[in-house]
Amino acid sequence: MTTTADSGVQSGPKAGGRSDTMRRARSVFANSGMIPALALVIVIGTMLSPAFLTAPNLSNVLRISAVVGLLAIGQTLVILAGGGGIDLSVGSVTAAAGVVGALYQGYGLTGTIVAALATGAFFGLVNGLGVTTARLQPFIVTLATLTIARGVAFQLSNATPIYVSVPGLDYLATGVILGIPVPIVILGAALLVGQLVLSRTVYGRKLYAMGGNEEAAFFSGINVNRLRLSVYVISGLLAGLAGVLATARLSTADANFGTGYELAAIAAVVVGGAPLTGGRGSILGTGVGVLIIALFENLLNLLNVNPWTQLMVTGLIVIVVVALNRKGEAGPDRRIWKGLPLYAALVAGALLLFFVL
Amino acid sequence: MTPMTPGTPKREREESIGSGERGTVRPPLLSLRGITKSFTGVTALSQVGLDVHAGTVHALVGENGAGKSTLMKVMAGVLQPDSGTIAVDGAAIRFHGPADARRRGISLVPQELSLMPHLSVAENIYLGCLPRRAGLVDRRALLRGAGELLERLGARVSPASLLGEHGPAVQQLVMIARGIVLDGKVYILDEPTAALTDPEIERLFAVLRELQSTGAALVYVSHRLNEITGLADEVTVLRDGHVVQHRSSSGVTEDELVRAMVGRSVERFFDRPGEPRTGSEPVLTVSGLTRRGVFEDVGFTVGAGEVVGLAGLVGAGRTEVARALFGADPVDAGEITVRGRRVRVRTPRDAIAAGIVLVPEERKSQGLVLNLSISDNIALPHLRSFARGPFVRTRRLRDHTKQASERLRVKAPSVSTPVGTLSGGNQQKVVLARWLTRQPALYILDEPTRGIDVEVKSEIYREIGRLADQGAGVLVISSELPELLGICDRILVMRQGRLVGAVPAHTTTEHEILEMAMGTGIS
Repeated sequence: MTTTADSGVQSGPKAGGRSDTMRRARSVFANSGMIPALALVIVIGTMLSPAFLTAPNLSNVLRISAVVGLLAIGQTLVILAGGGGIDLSVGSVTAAAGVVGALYQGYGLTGTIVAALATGAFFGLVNGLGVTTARLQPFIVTLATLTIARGVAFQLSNATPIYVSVPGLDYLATGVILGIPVPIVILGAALLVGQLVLSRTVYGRKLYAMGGNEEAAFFSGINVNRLRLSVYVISGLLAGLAGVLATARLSTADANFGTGYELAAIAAVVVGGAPLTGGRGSILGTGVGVLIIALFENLLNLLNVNPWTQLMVTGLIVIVVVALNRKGEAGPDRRIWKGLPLYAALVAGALLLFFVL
Repeated sequence: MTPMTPGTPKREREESIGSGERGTVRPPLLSLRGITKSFTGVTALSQVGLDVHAGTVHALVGENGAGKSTLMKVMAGVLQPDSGTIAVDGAAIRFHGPADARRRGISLVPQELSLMPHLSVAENIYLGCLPRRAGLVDRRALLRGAGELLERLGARVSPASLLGEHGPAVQQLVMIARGIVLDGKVYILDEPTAALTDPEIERLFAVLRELQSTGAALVYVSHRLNEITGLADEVTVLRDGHVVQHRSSSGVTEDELVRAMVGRSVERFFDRPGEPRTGSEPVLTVSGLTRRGVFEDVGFTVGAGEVVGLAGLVGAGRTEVARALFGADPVDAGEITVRGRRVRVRTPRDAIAAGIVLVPEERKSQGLVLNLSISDNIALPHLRSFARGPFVRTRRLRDHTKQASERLRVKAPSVSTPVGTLSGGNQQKVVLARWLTRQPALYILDEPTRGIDVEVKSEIYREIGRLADQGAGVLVISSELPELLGICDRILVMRQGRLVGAVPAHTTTEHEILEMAMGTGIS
């Protein structure tokens, strides 16, 4: 029996609503325990480059990261839902949705947006059906749709970028609401809604439950198949929306767009503190993850680091942040010891690369 | 569990054949002394002593939960005892893992076979010690060796065929062949005949006798007492983790063994005002419930306010019936009626809507989301009822779940505490608390007190009584017969997927139930 045995029953007066909120806040913080890392990136950036912490630069970074940010929100839901959930198709689906939207530009802004969203939702539905009713592994299903969606994008666009000229579409790229660029507003709104859904709604609670223990959720009468299907559809829808934003920014729909974005989105989710095993994580954490990666890449740009080095450094950041984020799963000293061989190998690789080759 | 005051029960431990004459004769191949093992507060084995001699078959019997599996695992090095000594060939030794035991010639042939179905029979036999030549697997030597072994064991199986193509009998023999390859001296067989047909059993016995004649020792665990009297030289009876009898098997009757296995004291865990409610208006009527190959034609009723026990050996199909009633597994046939209304139950969702709820056997894997709070876990099936629009009304949910957890006296700093940090007993209370507000027609409780300490057990018993008093039907599955006798009005007994008896709990005995469950005696 626990040590609280004699204290009798549960919640004392202290455990009221406030401490619950506190606990939630703290757990959000712990899950996205990367706010210190974000602060660190900002401090380092400010010290190394005078252009870093300026409104135009930050605004630019955020505007560009809106697309990956939307994909990362969908990815968070899919990963959170557990069961090996992952959506590798989002990058390709973004391109396909953009192309389909461009083909419907004759129907104006609404037609473009609806066509793109419907395309995204359709691929999400295929993913979801593959995972739920067909019982295929998410990795396999979404890997297949990654290929299919890319093929669809090339086929429909004849492999040439489609110029898009829809009145009002450019507002989604260059418009400003209350001094904030529209893409940033959209990303911010999506983050906010996502966080609200996860933390406050019945849907969100069920999602955490299923991600934490699918069988227990099933035994509680939750329709786990429908729930799981829904996260893939939402992920597809957000990819469709990302396709719209990309088309608006570039004024073209390009079948090549978004290659590798699914990996960037996954990286943002794990940097944001969600384990790939599901059941934990938050949209705010993912938002922080997106920011860390985007700001870091921006900093490397400002410092004129060549793009190949940037790739390496970005990869390193993902490893290091995720490794540090594993606290709480093992004691602190154990964590350091267990990470040592990995860090040693990385350092050895870096030395080899720069001094021997 | 019955109260276990040390030393109170009289035990005829290690009479006749014992450690006394050591030194003059060969020491036993495997000898255990004072083995004690407990799991989070529950004692599984207490001061167990056992000798296994070369060229003999030593049978190990006991009820479900008597400690047989734990003892086997200790012998095979899978579990390390808390205290006590193990000696192989007279030399004391400490196993650090199953590999240690295997190196000393101790082979466990588990019930759930742990073989590789995609590899050949020969490869399975030689797994981990494949014959090699020049760094590569010597296939010819492999097939020849395996072929000879299989022939010796009387199995007409091509060593090159895939193991997965064969039934459990061959897999069993392959495990034994593996033991021979590893130069085994002691073979521990866990219910080896459970999945075998009669001719296969005959052949297995022939193999076992052959092994015995070569000087190997066998530890044989089986519920089929008639096998034991024919095969074994010695019998050890376990009860509640203690050795209660050890004797030569010559002249022993099945009845004597059953008598030794039972005999735990039974107490009424709560007083029901008025006499048993059997015969009241049924809340649940089941008829012809069948899931082919699992259970067959199961039919019974549970009355309002009645506590009905479901007894049977492990594998008799009790949990499977419970899962089917709850919609977790599909059924092939059968009707379920709840409070006079015929219901179709295809998912747990349907069952909950119909008024059937389940507290599952595995509370950690099936009952709880460990990283969520007590509150979230209790509210999980009824989130909708705490919602306004899509949003959960957190305060209402908390007030409600606090009430539910207070009623069951869940001990935790607050209802926001993650259930993963609670003790087993408190976790079980949370699973039970989840269903209280629903006021369902029928509670199915599958092993509700497994691994829970005595104090919490009695609280759960009281709660079961309370639920029945409020007019719900309660179906309790338990492997602890005294528990069923103590809390139930009526006990149903299952054997091999069939309902074989129903007896009023206040007049029956543990002995009677066990006989029905094992199929011994006259039936």
